[in-house]
Amino acid sequence: MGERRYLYLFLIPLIMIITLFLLVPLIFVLRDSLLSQGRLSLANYYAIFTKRLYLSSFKTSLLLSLTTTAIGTLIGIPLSYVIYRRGPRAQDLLLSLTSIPLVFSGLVVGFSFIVILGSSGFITLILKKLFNINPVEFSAFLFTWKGLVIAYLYFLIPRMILTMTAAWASFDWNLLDAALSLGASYTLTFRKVILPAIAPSVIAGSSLLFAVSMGAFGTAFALTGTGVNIVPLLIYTHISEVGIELGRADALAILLTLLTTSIVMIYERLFVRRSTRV
Amino acid sequence: MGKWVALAACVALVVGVVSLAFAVEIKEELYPGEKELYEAAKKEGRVFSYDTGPTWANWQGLFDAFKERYGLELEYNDLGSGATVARLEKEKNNPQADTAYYFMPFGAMAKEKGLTEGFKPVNFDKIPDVLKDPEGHWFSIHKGTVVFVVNKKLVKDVPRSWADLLDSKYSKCVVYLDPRTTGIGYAIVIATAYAHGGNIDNLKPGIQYLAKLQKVGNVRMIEKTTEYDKFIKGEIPVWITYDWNGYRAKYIAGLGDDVEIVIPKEGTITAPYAISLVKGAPHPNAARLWLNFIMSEMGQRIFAKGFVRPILPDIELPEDVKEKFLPKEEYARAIDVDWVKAQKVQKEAAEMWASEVLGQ
Repeated sequence: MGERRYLYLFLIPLIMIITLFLLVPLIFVLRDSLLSQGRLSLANYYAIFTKRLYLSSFKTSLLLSLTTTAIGTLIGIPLSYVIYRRGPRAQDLLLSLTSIPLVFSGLVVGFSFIVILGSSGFITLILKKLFNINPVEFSAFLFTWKGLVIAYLYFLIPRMILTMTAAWASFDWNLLDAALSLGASYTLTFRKVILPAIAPSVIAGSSLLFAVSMGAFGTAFALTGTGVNIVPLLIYTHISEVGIELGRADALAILLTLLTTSIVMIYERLFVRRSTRV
Repeated sequence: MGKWVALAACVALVVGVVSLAFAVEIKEELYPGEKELYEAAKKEGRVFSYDTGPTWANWQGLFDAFKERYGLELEYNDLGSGATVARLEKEKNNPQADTAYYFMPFGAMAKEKGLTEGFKPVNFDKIPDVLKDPEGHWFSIHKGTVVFVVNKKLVKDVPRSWADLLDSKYSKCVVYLDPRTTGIGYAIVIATAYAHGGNIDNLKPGIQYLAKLQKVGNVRMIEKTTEYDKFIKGEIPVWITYDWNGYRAKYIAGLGDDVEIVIPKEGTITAPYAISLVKGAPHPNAARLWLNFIMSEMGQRIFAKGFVRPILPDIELPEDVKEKFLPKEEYARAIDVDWVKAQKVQKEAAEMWASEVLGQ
């Protein structure tokens, strides 16, 4: 017991950081979201649940995040396997290349996509030469939520790869040989051996992608301006427009946090149980 | 010991050279009292000028001239008029800005919120009365007209009217700034309202027009701050913005015949831009020096050189600039509106725009 107590001491810095930089700000935000003209009220939440502007922003945010999560997960898994199967040298190189997109600010990502896929972007111009497409029509999708899907995948796929590489590394490959030598088919091996082993990482990775896309701001701000109606941009306009509505922005932030956290929790519950049962 | 002496000598040398470089001497005063104000400003060393983005309204030209004349540092940001007032309000207890620049109605709003200080710069008397606060809490410094700036490389037929913009051939073509956070965005709401039979008391027709533009799918994007660079890069087919941006793209950035500036048939508005001394400015003398410079004949001429029409009526546009402007008859379709009233309905207009245009 005495030893345990010392271990708790080591947790103090972590607890302090979480309290100071996560809990305390969140409590302030929650408190302010419940104030309207200095009085306790649910007016901010009421407005969010009744106005089309807010409801449609949550809808677009969810659509965007679910799409990026699904595509990012599906592309990330095979890519991570390919990278893992290279020799250690190539693997090191590929992994460090993979983390490059993670260091760029959203601003850089946004503008680089304009340079590539905008109406004078070089891919657009090549396609124009080859297929005679209309560059203005073609590039317009870039400034909608669909453009954000492409731009977000740029920094989401690496996150999936990094999470998955760890899973492949800890996977006991002897199990695979055992299954195959005992006569299991490839599909059966995949379902009964590989899937259960990597499932926790797939779930952790895709939850991460979902949470990151729900909250991402910089890339959207740089790429689409404030015209795409997603929650992070709406929070921005509420704190920088003239009729500043801090309370409304606070309420949006609280709802965004709640929604993201609960979706991630339900998802993990549902699938972790199922995968451990197998 | 010797090492320290050498170091000290080096430091002294560097400091000497630097201060020499900064010791600018004013030979001829632009206005009485300039030298005295400069001496006081020199001690403060810098000005923080909010929302004067360098590619907007030839601010770069004014920055360069100011730095050359006085050797003072000038820092700026580029937020949008609405965001500027919001920022000043947040910093009310600990002001960071010296001056704030915005679409004129926002000046009146900043004064109402107690964010500004009265200051009458040189030539204050020459500013038309309706374009300034009597105590100088804000005063207009230049004007601009809301126009279409068209990139002919991307658009074959140049739109001539607000109605034209609704045509399906301009699908995904139109770009403008967000009325919630920027002055030009709000000016566009007002301009479209007047063009469709509305007025400052009834902005609805303008908002309905913008909602329709959105619905037919002709809006390419809604930006948050100056998109000049994107236009130059060829990302914007039809840009609703101020005339100076168009002239600047055409003649200064050298896009030439690829750019056409159109004053829409149904009419538009001419919008004044104002500046204020911020209450509790950290560098009050340098701020006054900067404001005086902007309002001096010299400063006003620099606006004119960048196709930005100065507020002082007696400043003649340089010949080579004048001949490049669209003819006077075209500008006759651009009206002035009651700007003070415009301030009162701004918040409502922004909300209505958001729910009608984005909440569709």
